[in-house]
Amino acid sequence: MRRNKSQQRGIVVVAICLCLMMMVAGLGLGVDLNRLMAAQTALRGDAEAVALAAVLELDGTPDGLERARVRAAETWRRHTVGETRSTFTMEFGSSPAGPWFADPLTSDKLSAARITAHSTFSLSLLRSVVSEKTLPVDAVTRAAQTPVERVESGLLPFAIGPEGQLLDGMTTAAQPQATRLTILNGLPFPVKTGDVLAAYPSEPIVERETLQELIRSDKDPVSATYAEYSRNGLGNGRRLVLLPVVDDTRRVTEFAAYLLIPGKTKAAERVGGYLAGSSRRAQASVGAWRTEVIR
Amino acid sequence: MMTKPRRGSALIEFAVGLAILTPVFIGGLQFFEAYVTTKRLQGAVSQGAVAAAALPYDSANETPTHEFKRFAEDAVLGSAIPGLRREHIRVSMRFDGGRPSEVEVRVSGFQVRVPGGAITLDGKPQAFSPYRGHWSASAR
Repeated sequence: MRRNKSQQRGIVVVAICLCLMMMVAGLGLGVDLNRLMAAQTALRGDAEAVALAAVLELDGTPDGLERARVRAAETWRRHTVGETRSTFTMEFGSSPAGPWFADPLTSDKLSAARITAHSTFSLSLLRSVVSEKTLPVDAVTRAAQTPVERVESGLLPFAIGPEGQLLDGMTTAAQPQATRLTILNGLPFPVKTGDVLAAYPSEPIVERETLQELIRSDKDPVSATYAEYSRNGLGNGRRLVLLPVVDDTRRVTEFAAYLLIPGKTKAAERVGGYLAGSSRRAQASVGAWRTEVIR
Repeated sequence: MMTKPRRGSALIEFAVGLAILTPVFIGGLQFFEAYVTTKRLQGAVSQGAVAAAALPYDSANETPTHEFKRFAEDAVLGSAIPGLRREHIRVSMRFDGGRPSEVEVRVSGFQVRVPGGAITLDGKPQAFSPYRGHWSASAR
């Protein structure tokens, strides 16, 4: 009996040690798993940003495809500083559903990008439990140019007629100072296809001066055509405006991007679809578009 | 020969065990809480950056207007993280080629409680999103 009691001495210390070891191991597992999840989230965030940056450059031209590659690489490099083990591959497609091509034969239909990012995650506390020192982390994300049904911002307060000419009159009532601000900021109300836009009296002088002001605020205020503007690559997109196209009853039939022409009164060249946030046209030939991550 | 009195030793052992394990357990819980808070912050700043990137931008330079900042801050604060206030959120716009190209949202000056004190998050977590909204011209 005495021997049994003496054997029991120290059992609490052993129990405490075991408990401590289990708690520390549990904590270590939790820490590593959380770090792993955080690394996956960060990688997915980086991949999404790269995909969006690439898609913003796609305008249906080989140059746009090349710009998409360059901007994607720049975005990746800037945001994964120090993470030398991270890499990504990029593929392009004509729709968010694919198919995807790393080196597409043509660029005219490309409006989506898929990014597959790879990284390796260094285990810390779990290293003592599992044989691997690192684990692979992957993230796949897609982004695409998607149509905007209802234009909420950035619409110029003028309309393009059925013959392609800029119609006289504003699409909103405004006083001279408000006219200027409406041209610079866009219509203060949303517009969608099918809406009928009223015609309000023009403020010819204010309109002309403000449109020229808009042109001057572009980094390329001189190119006379969109082909020249796009080839120079200097513009910041201020002259590239979104306008509604209306029929004889002033009902909106479609939206499109137009380049304001310098030196002329209310002259604009139709260039294709409008892509918000881009200094170039969208891949599509008509409509208002935005860039979105496809989940 | 007298035997050593053992009565009460189990209580002492229990007390010692409790004194060691309790701080470890509470420390583990605090650490977990800090981790969850940081993770929620990361999600919140990502949400703020993505939301702000689609907004009209009405500043001529990298300093956003009050309204733009407020919208991004509201998107971050929507996550309802205890202790996170507007002044902890930094919003900036990166320009490239003379136009807005990337929104960055970060947390600064926010304290997270950790075992044995608190750490101040300075510039982290951060999130960015390529700008894809309408750049209005009135500020120029």
